[in-house]
Amino acid sequence: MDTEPTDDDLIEEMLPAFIEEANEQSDALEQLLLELESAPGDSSLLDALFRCAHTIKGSAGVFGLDNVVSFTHHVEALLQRLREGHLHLNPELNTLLLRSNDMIRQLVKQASRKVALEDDQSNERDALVSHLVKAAGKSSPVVQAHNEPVGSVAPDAPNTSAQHWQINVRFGADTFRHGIDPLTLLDYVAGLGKIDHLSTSLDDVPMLDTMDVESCYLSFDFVLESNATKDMIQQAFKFAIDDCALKIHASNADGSPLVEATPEDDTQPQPELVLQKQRQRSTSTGDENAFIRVQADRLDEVINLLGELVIAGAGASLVARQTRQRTLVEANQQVMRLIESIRNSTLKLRMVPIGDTFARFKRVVRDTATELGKDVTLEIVGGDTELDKAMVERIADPLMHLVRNALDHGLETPEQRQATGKPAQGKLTLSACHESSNILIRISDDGRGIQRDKVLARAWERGLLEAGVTPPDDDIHQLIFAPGFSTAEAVTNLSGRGVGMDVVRSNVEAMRGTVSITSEPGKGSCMEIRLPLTLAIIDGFLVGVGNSKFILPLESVVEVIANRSVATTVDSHGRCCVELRGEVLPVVNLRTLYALDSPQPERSSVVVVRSGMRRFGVLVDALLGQHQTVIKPLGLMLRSLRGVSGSSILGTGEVALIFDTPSLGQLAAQPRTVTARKPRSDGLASSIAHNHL
Amino acid sequence: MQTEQSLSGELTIYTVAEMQPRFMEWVTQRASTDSSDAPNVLRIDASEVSEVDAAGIQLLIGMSRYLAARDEQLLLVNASQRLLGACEMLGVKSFLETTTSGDENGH
Repeated sequence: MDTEPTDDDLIEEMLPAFIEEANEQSDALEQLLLELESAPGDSSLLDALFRCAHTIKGSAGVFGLDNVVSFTHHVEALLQRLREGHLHLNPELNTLLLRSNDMIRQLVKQASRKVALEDDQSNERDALVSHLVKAAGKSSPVVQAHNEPVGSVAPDAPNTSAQHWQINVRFGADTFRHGIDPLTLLDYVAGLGKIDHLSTSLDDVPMLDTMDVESCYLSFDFVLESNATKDMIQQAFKFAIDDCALKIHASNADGSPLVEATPEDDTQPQPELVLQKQRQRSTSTGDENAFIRVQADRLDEVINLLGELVIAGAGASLVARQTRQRTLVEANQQVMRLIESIRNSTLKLRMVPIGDTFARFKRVVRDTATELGKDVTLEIVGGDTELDKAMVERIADPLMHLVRNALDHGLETPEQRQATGKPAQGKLTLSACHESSNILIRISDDGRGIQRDKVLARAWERGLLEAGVTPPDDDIHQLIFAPGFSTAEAVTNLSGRGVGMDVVRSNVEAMRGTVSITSEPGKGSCMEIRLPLTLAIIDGFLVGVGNSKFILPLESVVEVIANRSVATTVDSHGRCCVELRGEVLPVVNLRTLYALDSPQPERSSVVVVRSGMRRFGVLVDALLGQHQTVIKPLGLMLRSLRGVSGSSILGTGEVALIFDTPSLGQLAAQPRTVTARKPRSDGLASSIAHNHL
Repeated sequence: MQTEQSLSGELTIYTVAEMQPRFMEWVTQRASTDSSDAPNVLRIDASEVSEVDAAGIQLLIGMSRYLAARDEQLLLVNASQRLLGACEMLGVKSFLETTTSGDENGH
């Protein structure tokens, strides 16, 4: 058969969309399987499950990914048995299906890279196939197990007797011009089985004198007796897909349609249509929302430009104010308002709920807990909390590590739990919520908590602490973030692989986030990850100290105590306290902290900032108001600067440093013994001068 | 019974464009000459058809329909295996001579 190059090109072009779709279906399949565990026999879930598998198989067929088709076929066959009620789902079957789903993912991945399976993978696949066939055939006398050589297009396993398909194919006028010969096509279809009752509609062919000999007027009706599946028949027409209208019905031998026809009766197998259709179907099973797919880099480009626009807009407003023309200033304000709303909606485009990431852990928890002989339920709270897409991707790995850690080290086996009077089933909670400009992700378990003694022993052994020294409990907890720290007695494949909590911490810190841990012996532990909502633009509060400008994230600013005379003692690290409504508020003096060379004015303002549960004040000279802040990364020189997370360019062209409130809060809090920052002499001098004010 | 015309070689999408005027000639010639021995049947020897595809068969269908509209009939005699196979596959039998015994075409 003449294959038209454009067909191949088209398929090539559509392949990424297929892969993405197949992965989505796989994800949905996994979720459904996990849901089914708690509600076995739920027929709507089973139906949805079947549709997912069917969709993968169907679209893989369109793209000629025979490996995927033949393997998924076996999965589909088993699901069909479950759906019909011949089989009942048990944990064993569920595990088999989950593993098969993993295999489908692998096969799809391989198909996308156009590489062959490795030996152990094909062995695994063959093992899975035989399991699937056995499981599907176990309680069904009708079904005979076909052990088809996998890799070729395998005939329908559950249908040993050939099925009759009523096929109607109408070729388009350009069929011949596209190099397609219906004769060859039919010849090929005949190879799938036995063609019967074939009729050609002769009346559609014009008379010899009026016909355009290079146009095709042919259409055929026939019955195909074959044990090929509908998809395989469609596949036969793959190359003519744009040139023919194809209808395939399951039928009786004489061509009369079966009462129970296959779900989709009318197929127009153009790849776009097929995909569209499947997408529609997938929306009904998995996602409820419709999406437009946009390449991430296009979105990034818009956000970058928007950042520039914000800076340019700020510059324009400044110039407008200098001209003192009221109309111009007002016009500019209007522009700035619009820019702000565009900014907000654009940033929202990047926001995705973190729930999808959390849901992935259901599987991890299930498998890992089984492997460790533990009984654990996963509770997800606040899955609709939104986070920048880029952050979601980067947080997945650290989260995975923390979850595995909790399962491996934190939670005990059912026996151990019962011995200590706890319910046998352990609980792991993943939660997310917004907290000022941050998102707070919490991984908590009700396990044994951090084993203080073990941690201490390991720290002494590794030389992380001087032997015999016992620091306060909080510091002991921090030790697990030290590089090379692992208390796992046996290196399991779950944790204790050397990539420890230090990697988690550095990953989180790379996103301008923080990670902290609280633990209560015997009651469980809780990891908290705080991340900024977005990496791009924030609402800032601009403050001035001398000639320097700083920006505080607006959402962390609680209140401002304006123009008060400073009369408290500042220590060498720039710390002091003020009284706020009868409470003591720690205050950090920026001038002293960053050793700024400018005289302390007589009156200053204190900006009260919230970070986590903590409140602290920042002592500044001037309050310059709200500012849309485009975050630029810090240069190498400034990266080690504590309390600062980025920089921003102001409308005037000046550079302002952006504070990272949690780490600034740490600076404002109690002195830390280990990492005391040595003040520079000029800083000390100014703080002494300051003492006299 | 004599065949009026003979068809040979390739009858495919590559040749149908040049075949169409030839076929037209055949059918119009008939109309004007009004052959007496078999007035209703245009017999064509098709033993030498080496290659055929759906476009070729379609052209034959077109000719057959043209003739049918004039109460005439197209009959391919002694069709080659290739042609027979193609016609069978496409379910077109009306213009094939049912018995293709050797003595029917003395050419």
